[in-house]
Amino acid sequence: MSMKIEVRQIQKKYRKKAVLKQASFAAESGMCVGILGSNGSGKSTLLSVLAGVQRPDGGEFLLDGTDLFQKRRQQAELIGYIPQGTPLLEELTAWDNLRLWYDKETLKRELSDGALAMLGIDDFIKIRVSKLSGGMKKRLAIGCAVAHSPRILLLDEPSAALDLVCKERLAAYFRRYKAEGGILILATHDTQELDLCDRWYILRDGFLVPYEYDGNVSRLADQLSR
Amino acid sequence: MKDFKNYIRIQMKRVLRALPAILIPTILLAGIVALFFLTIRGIDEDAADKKKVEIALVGDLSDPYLKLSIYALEHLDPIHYTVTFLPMSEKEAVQKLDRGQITAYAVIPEGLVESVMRGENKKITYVTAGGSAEMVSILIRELMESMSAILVETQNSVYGMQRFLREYGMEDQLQQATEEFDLRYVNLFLDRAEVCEVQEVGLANELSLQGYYVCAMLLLFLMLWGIACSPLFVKEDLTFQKFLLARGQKLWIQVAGEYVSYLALMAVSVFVIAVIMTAGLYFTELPVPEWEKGGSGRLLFLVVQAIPVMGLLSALQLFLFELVSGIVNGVLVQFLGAVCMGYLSGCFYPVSFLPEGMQRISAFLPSGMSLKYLDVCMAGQEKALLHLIGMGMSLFLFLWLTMLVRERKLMKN
Repeated sequence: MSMKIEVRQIQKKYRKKAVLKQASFAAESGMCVGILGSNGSGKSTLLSVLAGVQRPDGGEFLLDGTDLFQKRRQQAELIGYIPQGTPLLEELTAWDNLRLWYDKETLKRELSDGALAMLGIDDFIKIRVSKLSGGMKKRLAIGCAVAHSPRILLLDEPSAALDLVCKERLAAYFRRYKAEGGILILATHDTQELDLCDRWYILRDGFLVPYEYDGNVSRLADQLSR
Repeated sequence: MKDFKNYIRIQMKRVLRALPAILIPTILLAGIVALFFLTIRGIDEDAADKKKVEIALVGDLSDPYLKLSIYALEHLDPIHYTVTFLPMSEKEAVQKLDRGQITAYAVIPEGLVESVMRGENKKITYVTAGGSAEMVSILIRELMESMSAILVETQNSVYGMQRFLREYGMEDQLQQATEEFDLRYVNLFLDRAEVCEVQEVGLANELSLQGYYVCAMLLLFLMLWGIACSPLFVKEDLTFQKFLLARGQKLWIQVAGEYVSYLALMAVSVFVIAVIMTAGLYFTELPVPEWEKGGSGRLLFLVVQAIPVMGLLSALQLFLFELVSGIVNGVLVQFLGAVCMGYLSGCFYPVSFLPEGMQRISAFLPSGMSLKYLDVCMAGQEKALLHLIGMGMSLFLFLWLTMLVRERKLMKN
């Protein structure tokens, strides 16, 4: 089912400092939006506001005309969010972490023939999270985040510090997610992920400025440094 | 509700996995606390057996009446078990008082006896260190006043009698009458041992010293136990909490889930230790008079009664974990919190030994409330409800504060 999201004039202040002033963008089903910006520009804040972790000081997050900021439960059901870092319980196994979000039958099915199979989680399902590599943890985190089949996936630098094989595996998953009609919103600096995107925005001084990425990294770096 | 159950289930699984690793430091901690208890007990017994209050006497002590009074107090009265009088110069007395080698010194004014003979009353000055209102100082002050009163009243009556005999021309009987008077006073003095009886009513809630310290050590153990949990409950970052929030797991679900699992972990660890100790007590002499009726099982019963205390301390420790990030900070805050609150609440010295201001603070501390509650349980009294209400309110306050701190941290990041 096709859908359209519209993020309108999101504002967010930390004490008196305005991190997001008038952040706006739009996206449709099957689209990937890349949010670019220098360190500390507010990319993570924007994603955490959209995910419902932080409350915005103003603005709207419309899904087919419905403001998700006013419908917290709907927002949680529609959005999958993977913050930076490891949103997992390190003392438990991959299976235990997934069991927080999946019932047993669904988990088995997903592991054999579903999103989790595609992410290759079955390979390390019985291993304790603290012993997993960064790439495995990231795949597991995504596996947890998509348990409720969200239609919008927010990812904060998903490929940071991952090796090429792992990046490729994630990229394959993201392509499939898009193909199935999901909307991907990535905060990223990774060129491989930028290639996945259909729209790009640079977050500068609290505003989202549209940008046309053409594979020219030095031009992009020049834009980001302004 | 399903989210809540799921979260508790996963948290319980997490703490159960960590249980063996937590039990090792817990057993070590229990050993340290038990050793501490035995040391305190030993010190107290030694102190009761050996330590005497030493008071210096400064000034002119040459008068025979004065010597008689001091001798009587030192040798004929039950006081001689607790007080020693040491004649010395004022300079030496001041130095020894500064060093804490004597409890106080009394300055006997020059010509004290002569002034009494003239019917005047020169005062003995009693000097203690600081403005402490501790029991020993009060007792010693009373003692000095008694000594002064004995001396003055004895002499007043002897000299009054002598004046009477002189005025009525019976000077030939003066010597004999004085001796009779003196003997009568000495007899009265010797009989003073029958005047009063000392009864020990115990410390808080009429507990024996041992009973009090068992409660205090149990509380200290529970407070220090938080250290063992630092690796499990200190958060390096809030990524998982952000994730939960995005998935619709509200803050109260997160905090309540962690609280329940923390409390369960604490209860299991403490029960394991209590079972080991109970088995140990079965083969040894019971250290607490309050347990003489119930046998070694009373420790286990006390631990069951301590569940509300565990509930309150779990909430407090979770709150402390929420305030810091990093395991080292977690260990430090738990240790310092336990030691400071333990001190203020009477874990090291009975709270009645502390200044009044500290006692007032202690009453509102979670540790203070907990110790009072444990004292009531140990004493077998049935007036715990009021304590339970206070502890329940504090518990919810700490859980609410934990939520508040977490919300603020999530909003900042």
